[in-house]
Amino acid sequence: MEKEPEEKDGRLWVDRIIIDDVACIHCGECVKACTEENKERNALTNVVQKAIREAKKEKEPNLLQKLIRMDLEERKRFWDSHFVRCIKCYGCIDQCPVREEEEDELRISEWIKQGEVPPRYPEFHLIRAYQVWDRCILCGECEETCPAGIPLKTLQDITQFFSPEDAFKLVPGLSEEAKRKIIDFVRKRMDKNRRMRYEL
Amino acid sequence: MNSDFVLTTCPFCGTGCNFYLEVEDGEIKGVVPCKTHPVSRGKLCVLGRSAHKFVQHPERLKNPLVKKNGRFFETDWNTALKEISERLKKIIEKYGPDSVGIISSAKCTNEENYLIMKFARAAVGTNNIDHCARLCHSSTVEGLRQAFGAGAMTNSITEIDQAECIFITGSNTTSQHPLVASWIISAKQKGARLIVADPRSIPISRYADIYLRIKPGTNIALINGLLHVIIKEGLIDRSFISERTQGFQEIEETVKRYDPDYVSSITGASKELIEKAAILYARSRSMLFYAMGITQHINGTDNVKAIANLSLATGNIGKPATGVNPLRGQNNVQGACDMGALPDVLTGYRRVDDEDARRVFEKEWGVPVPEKKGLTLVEMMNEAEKGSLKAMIIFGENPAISDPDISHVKKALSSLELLVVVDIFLTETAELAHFVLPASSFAEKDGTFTNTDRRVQRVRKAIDPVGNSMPDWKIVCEIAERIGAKGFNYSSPKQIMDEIRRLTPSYAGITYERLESGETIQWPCPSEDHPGTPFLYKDGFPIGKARFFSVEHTQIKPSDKYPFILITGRCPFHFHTGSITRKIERLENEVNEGYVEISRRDAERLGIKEGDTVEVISETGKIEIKAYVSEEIEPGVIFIPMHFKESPANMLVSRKLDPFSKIPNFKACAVNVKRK
Repeated sequence: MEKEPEEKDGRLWVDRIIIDDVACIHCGECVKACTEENKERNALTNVVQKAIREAKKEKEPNLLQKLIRMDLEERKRFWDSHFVRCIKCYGCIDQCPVREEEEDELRISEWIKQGEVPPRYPEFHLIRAYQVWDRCILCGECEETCPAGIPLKTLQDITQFFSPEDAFKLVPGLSEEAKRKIIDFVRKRMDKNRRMRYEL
Repeated sequence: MNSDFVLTTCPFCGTGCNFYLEVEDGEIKGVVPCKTHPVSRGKLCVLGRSAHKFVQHPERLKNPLVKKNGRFFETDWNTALKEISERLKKIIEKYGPDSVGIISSAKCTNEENYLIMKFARAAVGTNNIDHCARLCHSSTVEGLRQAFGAGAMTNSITEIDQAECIFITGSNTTSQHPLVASWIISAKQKGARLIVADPRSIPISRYADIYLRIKPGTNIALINGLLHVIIKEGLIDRSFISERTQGFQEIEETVKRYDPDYVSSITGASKELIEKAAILYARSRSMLFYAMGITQHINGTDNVKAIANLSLATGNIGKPATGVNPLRGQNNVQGACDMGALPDVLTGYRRVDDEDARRVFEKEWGVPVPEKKGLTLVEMMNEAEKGSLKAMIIFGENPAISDPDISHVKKALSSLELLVVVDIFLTETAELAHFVLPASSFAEKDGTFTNTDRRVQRVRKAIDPVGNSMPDWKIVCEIAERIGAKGFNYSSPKQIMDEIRRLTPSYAGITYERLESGETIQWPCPSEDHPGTPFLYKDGFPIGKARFFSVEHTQIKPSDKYPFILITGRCPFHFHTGSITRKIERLENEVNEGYVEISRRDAERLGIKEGDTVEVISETGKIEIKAYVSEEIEPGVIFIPMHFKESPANMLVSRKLDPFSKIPNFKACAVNVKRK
């Protein structure tokens, strides 16, 4: 029987390990590395092992793969059913480790009325995702901290691995004006994001 | 640089989320969610994420204030405390202890509430002690005590994902308890069914399987109607009713008249949906959640009893993922009630008129405990205005905005011979005081809060007290000792908790050592080796058999003069009287003024356009406020948030009270709306 992680022992960082569902190929190297490097902090290894075990259990396609297989209508229904639950807690903004001050070219307040819950969608979520387009590290903190359970990591994957034009098909419903703004924003930063691009 | 992460409990609602305060060189820089916490699971709402932003706000009170010729002057602790205690002592000597009223705070820790309660009873010698639970869940405390034996949430937030059906009524959960809503949403994603009954189309009603849009004040009719269907369909739990309850025949008789047609005509919800909801609730393992939409009525206690009937008849209680679950509004309102900051009970809800209970406390405290039930919050205001209550000490509450009929409250407070307000900011109430004492916030002290599911959790000191402020527990001890009371010499909140444990069986096993080792313990926890109690009444009710109460619908009749029904409440970005949240820039940017939500149909009929200033008038008062035209509210009903002192909803709410719990009628007040 494995010992469960001690809550007191390194609690703050033990519970911060997340396995990326899109990137993980279940090789188990991280568990090995962690065991070797961290002989005393059993807890850390346990967390990783548990996450891997749970990830392996899922033989189903991940959310991104499912979305790709949906048609436009289904995708819109899917995202709307999630975005309607947003309570505008600012968690996806506050917890983002790479986010900095908004730039004038892409401001949330330009599209979103203050005080309104849920905030206008998909504008709020796509603009937020693209604001960190040139620096997102796909850590998934935005999704982890979202009290409404919106799959924001998948949203980040979409904006990071696809062109904005394809992303707007995977997350349909954005106004034409907002689309143009985002495309301009991304174009000016093309040299800063070196991620591999997929096509729909 | 000195940096630290201090794990603590959120100071806003009763959900009891935990987070780390990020401290750098004595300055709180941020809030980091705690992913291993059983309730909040690394998530927070907009208030929790902003919880650090008021602590070191420039407007924090840093020194005691004394009023001279209508103006406040800063003074030192010694002078202020000396003057307060001398004047207090004189009042007690001249008019007797019952001329003093103490209001405790659901924002303060358990240890502080206990001491404030002890101060009233042992140092002053009066049971005139109350707090804001009077305005939110006193009808729960009373109704559930009569039905089950204890007035608290029966089950746990962490059981929600095992429920098959979740029934929410009178709770705007995504706005007021966002992290409870988070559990409900994930339960629904796993396949649970959701029923929502509310007069307003609130965000959570948009993804309900069954949404019953009912008229305000028709809760009893609805619940009786559900029971009617459940009995007719043979879905009652016969063995549970016969073994564990009494009085079922009475309600069986009463609900006979509440057939779906009749109930539909009263509530406005369709007959088919009423039938579907009844069958779904009765056939499933169902958790019922409610909040102010049930309690804040002139018949609030009856509303609560109706809900208790529903859970008892279907056996949805005493098991995991079932129960009657009142969502408590303040971070420590459960704890303040548990600690006996109420006029009729001591800690653990033992009644002051019970001689055996008083003896236990008299032995520990070494002084007699008064026997006569004290005044409730609203009654204190009435007595103050009449002149029989002479002095009040108010800890961390703002009745000048939060209580009904605030022009009367202001008059009452102004007529006191001595008003001492202890708070972190100069609130509207503090402005009326003779003395204002600066308290320390949650981030500057140690202690415990008890959340809505009876979970006792640690509050930890992250920074030193701001300015010359002091934690409330130290302030109480200072005043108590200066009026000559014994037994107010404590070195730490832990020492106070040890005294609470000796006096309170349900808290007996809750030690600081256990809490420090990472446990969150749900009462009752009678001994140190007891794991705590996630759900109540597994093996029986404290009153033996649970009781059904026959309750009847009473019709609210809007008059020609006041044809609208006003619902007061909260918006997601502010908390209560706004004394904290309105100082947080992000929240104030979201919503910075009051509004009256009115249906499109009514607005068009009255020629009101979105953004127009309108007059809202009741028998009690009148305010001017901006109109917000909405599809989400029934014609004939309007909604005003309570947070904004510029357009205070409580100018309109009357002082009429529920006869059992003395809760005011914040949820159904007759008003008129006029174009300016």
